[in-house]
Amino acid sequence: MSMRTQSWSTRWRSAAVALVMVLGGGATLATSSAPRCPDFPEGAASEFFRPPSSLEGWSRDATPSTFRAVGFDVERTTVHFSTCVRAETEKVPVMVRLEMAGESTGAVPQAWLSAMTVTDGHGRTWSPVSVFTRGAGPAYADSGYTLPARSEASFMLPVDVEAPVRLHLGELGGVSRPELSLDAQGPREQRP
Amino acid sequence: MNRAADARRAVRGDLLLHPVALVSLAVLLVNDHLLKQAAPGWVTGKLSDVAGLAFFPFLLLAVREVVTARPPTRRAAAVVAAVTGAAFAAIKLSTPARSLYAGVMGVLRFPADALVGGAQSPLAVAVQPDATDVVAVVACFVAVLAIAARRPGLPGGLELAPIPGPSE
Repeated sequence: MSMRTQSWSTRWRSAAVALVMVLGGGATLATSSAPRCPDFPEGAASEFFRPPSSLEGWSRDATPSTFRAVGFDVERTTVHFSTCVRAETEKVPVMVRLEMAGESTGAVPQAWLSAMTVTDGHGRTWSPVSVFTRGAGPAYADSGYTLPARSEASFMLPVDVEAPVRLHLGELGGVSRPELSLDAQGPREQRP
Repeated sequence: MNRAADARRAVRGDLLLHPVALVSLAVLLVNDHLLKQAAPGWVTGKLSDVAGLAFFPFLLLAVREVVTARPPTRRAAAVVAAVTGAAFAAIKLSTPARSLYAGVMGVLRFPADALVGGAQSPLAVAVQPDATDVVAVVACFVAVLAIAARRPGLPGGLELAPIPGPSE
């Protein structure tokens, strides 16, 4: 066998090994399925709840996601969906999370969060079923890592909620930012 | 000594080209992406476990050979098979191990989930805590048999360096 033939044989085998290695690594990851929801109940549930690729437990940014609130710079606002929407679902838990900028930012007053409301296109209004708030602080004792200030308000929204779905910020937003859109569509605000 | 055979041995990680490894990978891919959708059930569920556990030690041994330049031995194959089997059993039987695995796999999958599914944060993968799946760990030891068959009669699977034949 010539040296050239040996060289090609070696190259082909090396390429085959690399290909099988990549395929095998991918197959190993893909065989563990991400949590999936059953098919979205078309017509029975609002588009507001339609997940990307039926992922169970997913989130999206509110619009705008970043804004200046009263006494706080909100770095990111996200809308979280923790359960699958099925045909028999009547209410869906939806959590709105606000992360504040700054390493010494205090907690948003709990009363402000409790006063926030969500409204939809039918003119219905919902208050939070629970709220959570904390100021910025160390991740754990003596750690150099600081967790940002964070506030959360959870709502139980009916499965037929109609766009536009808006979060009314009340005292937190003041006059400059009275509300946010929680819908999937809408213009995205550039994050700094 | 056959030079073509020598050339084949020179490729690191070529254990992955072993027929058992290739068949296991093919079964894993076909079962995960075709058969499970066409006929979801006990058989297709177990088939992925068996194929994956048969293939994974080959993959680990090949990566080890590529990284360390040390050819796979029976001892290394036995260790890799035992570790793979033990990890799989722990994932199926222990809640903390399952949570750890689900979280780590979620992070590893995140780039693909973000690109394909629009995920904005890593999602823990779903793992069925089915104790009967543990029987599939026997498939891990196929790699040991393959290595033993590849290098018969050598203690510990140690490979002697090929002796070049007379120049032509």
